[in-house]
Amino acid sequence: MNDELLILKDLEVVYKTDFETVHAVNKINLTIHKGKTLGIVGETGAGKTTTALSILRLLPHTAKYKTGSIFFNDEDLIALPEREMLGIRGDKIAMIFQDPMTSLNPIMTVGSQIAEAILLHNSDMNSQDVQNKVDEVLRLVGISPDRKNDYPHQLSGGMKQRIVIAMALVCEPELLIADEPTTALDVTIQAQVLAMMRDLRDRLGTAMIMITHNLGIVAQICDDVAVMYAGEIIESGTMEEIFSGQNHHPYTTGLFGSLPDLSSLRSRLSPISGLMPDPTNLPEGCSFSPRCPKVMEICYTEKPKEYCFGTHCIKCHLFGS
Amino acid sequence: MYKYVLKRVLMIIPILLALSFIIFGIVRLSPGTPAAAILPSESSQEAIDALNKELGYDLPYLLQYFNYMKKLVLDLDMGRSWYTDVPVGQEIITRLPVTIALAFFGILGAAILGIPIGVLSAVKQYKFVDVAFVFISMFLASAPVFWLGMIIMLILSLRLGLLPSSGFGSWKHLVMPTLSLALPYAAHELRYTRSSMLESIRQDFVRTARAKGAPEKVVIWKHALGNALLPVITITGINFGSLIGGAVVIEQLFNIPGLGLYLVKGVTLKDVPVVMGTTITLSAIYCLTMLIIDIMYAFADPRIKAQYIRGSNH
Amino acid sequence: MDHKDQQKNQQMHVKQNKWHETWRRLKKNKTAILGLVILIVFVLVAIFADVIAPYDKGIKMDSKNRFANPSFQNLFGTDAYGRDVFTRVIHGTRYSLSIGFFATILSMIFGIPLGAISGYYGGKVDNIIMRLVDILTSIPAIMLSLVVVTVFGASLVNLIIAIFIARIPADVRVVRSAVITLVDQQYIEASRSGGARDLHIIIRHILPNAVGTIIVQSTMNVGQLIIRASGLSFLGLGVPTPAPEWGTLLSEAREYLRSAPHMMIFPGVALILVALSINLLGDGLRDALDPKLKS
Repeated sequence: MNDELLILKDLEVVYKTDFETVHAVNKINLTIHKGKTLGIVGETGAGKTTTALSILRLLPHTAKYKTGSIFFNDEDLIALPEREMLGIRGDKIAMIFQDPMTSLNPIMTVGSQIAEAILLHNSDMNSQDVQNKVDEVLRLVGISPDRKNDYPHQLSGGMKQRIVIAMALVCEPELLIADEPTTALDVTIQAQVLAMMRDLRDRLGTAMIMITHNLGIVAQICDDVAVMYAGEIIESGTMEEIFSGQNHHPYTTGLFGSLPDLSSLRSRLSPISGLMPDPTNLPEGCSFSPRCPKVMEICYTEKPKEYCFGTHCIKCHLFGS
Repeated sequence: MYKYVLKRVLMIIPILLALSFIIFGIVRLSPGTPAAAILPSESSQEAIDALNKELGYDLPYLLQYFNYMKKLVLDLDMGRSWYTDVPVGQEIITRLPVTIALAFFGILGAAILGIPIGVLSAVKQYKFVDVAFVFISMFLASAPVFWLGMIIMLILSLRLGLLPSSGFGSWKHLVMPTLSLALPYAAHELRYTRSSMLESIRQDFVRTARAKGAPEKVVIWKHALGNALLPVITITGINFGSLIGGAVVIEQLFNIPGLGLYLVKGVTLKDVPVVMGTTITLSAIYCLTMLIIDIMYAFADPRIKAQYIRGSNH
Repeated sequence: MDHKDQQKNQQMHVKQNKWHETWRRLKKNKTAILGLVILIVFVLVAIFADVIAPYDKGIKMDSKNRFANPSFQNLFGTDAYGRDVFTRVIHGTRYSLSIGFFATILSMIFGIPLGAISGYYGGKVDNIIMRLVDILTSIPAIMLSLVVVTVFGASLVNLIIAIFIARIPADVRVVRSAVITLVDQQYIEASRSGGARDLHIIIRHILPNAVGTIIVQSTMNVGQLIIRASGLSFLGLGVPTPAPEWGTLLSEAREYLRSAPHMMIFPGVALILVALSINLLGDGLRDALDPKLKS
């Protein structure tokens, strides 16, 4: 049985305006397996959110799928008519976003918003069954069903995010895409929500894409990791390979090196110097070459190929030959 | 909640009191006396003085005001017109429905025309439909109500003979005045709805609705519009107030026997009871309208409702 | 350069940049520039009215040439007394523009200090001022202006007074809410603890930030003021005849609507153009000042 749930193949997405073209996602390849969690890590602007939105075709009008395919259970989502896409969103693939304070409709009760998620994909369910399901999923995320007639402003940030998660999981999707779901929360609430997500994932067997710039979260919840830079996946592998393996892309090394470490005696952080390249004007050759401490001549002219050591793949000239 | 409503209703009273005091004072301050305006110009000074005394005009200002308010509150008597001697209250009762009907149908037309087109314009932002309507509404919003009235009168009544150009008696008499009032305010409603929708569509919860798999129609007409309408409610209320003012001018143009016409006549003749009665009535209506709008808004937006129940705000 | 001068330079630099940025964005907005251009044309017409159309043509009555249609002789035709409508419309520009201008300025002169005091000090002072504002707004604006004008007599000055009195509440509210938002900011706290006097804080720190909103709101409203003024003239309660105020021209045109529509069309178009140009400019200013609101 094929356990590959979602395959991104040579996906390229650009934003086209009258003035310029933004190369947001540059021919990436990703595979998510059933029940597993993939973490996509990278700085702001690396293209993580665009990748996520492109899976559900929630991109703005200015975005264009230039090349590539997105296979979900062997069906290419890019080619799917919108009507069928509606059936996928929220039902087979769900997505949650970063800021819970603004993600909920302020003039609808939280219960009715969850009910909407159910009814959109189960239009013939009778109202009692719908309400039971609402109660069930509320309990699942640790909120008392008494609160289903509350409005979003009556709930705290952490509770709002639980509602968002409840809405996403109520139809038991096969894949959950989470775009920085805990970033806007207090640190202590972050831990709670993350633990809850991990628990639900285990119970429901949902595959997950966790987008984050926080390596700590990746360590807690991800099975596989992909590192994104300037719209490309420059390194990917299992969690162990990325966190403790020997070989790394210089950018990955930089990411880990820039973390504050309480146990070390270093007095200064060592961030990666420079900034990510302008996506309307990407450099020739390797996108990281302007900032790379291990840059070579070939890096400026030729785009690096992907070199794999088993499941651990790195896109860097250092590992060629 | 009801305590708050009651409090607001009661607050209208001191405002009206203060307003009536000011208006009375302003009118009283004007040069000349009512008798001089009413009697023919060759009348003798004694005749003038006598009439003034009869009208109570020779009393000190505060006493006049007090007498007026006493009669108003205790007997609900607004006095009689100094000019025609017809009781003011009676005229107001006959004329008020006319003006209210005009204002009501005006704002109704404005909302029915302006709001849906505003939504459409926002959804199709920058496309031809949007640009065309924005252009038209800019034009209409800049047009004086009475000029539009004249154009409409010219075309529909004088050239095409479809409708009567003045007077009042059947629904036909209402069409042109209502249209003249509705068009510029429809333009305001359109522009406001459009910008409110544009903001609403960009909100995160709209993105959430899409991610849930809601079809675009539901996203726009349920989620985005629901939130966009909230400020539109307030604007509509404010427009209603301005529309009452516009009705004054329209009544003049189409010769409609409403309160506006009555007020203008009274003001020209310095007929104090008429001015006082009309102003207080129209202001009371205006204040009540704003209150109703506020309450409607509170019911529509649960965040505001929560504030009112706590009783603190305002 | 010592520290204080450096600070002042930075402040000025930031301020200049802000206006520079706003002007740059405004320039890009074609409709706003169109509005500005039309407005400037009207201002020039008002200033050079005598040169463009000598006034005697506008008051000389010519009973043989009544209700003439637009022609080369009389660009906009003639009215019931044979007077040249074109001249009267051109000279009417002076009235509308000066009413709009002075009413707005006067409203700001009274409204801004009241709003600033109300917002800054809060408490009893705020209550009193807002009660007064509530009273003024409890009566529809045109009615308030109507009462004021008729009582004090119809004249240009009284018309301006009537119009601006009805406008004051709006300016007070705008400034007050801007001040309230700003007063909570921390740099005000810092300034206070540094020992700055209240007036100094209000003038140097708060008002400059509120100025943008005030200008936008006022500009967007001038058109309404001009139309309201002409409405009062239409009722016969504005500038007295034979002054060629556009509202007065429209009221004169009313009787002869069927036979001589040109009397009505041209003053009306002039009113619309002025109001339109101001609205376009106002919209453009609002978008230029806060581009986030646009798209």
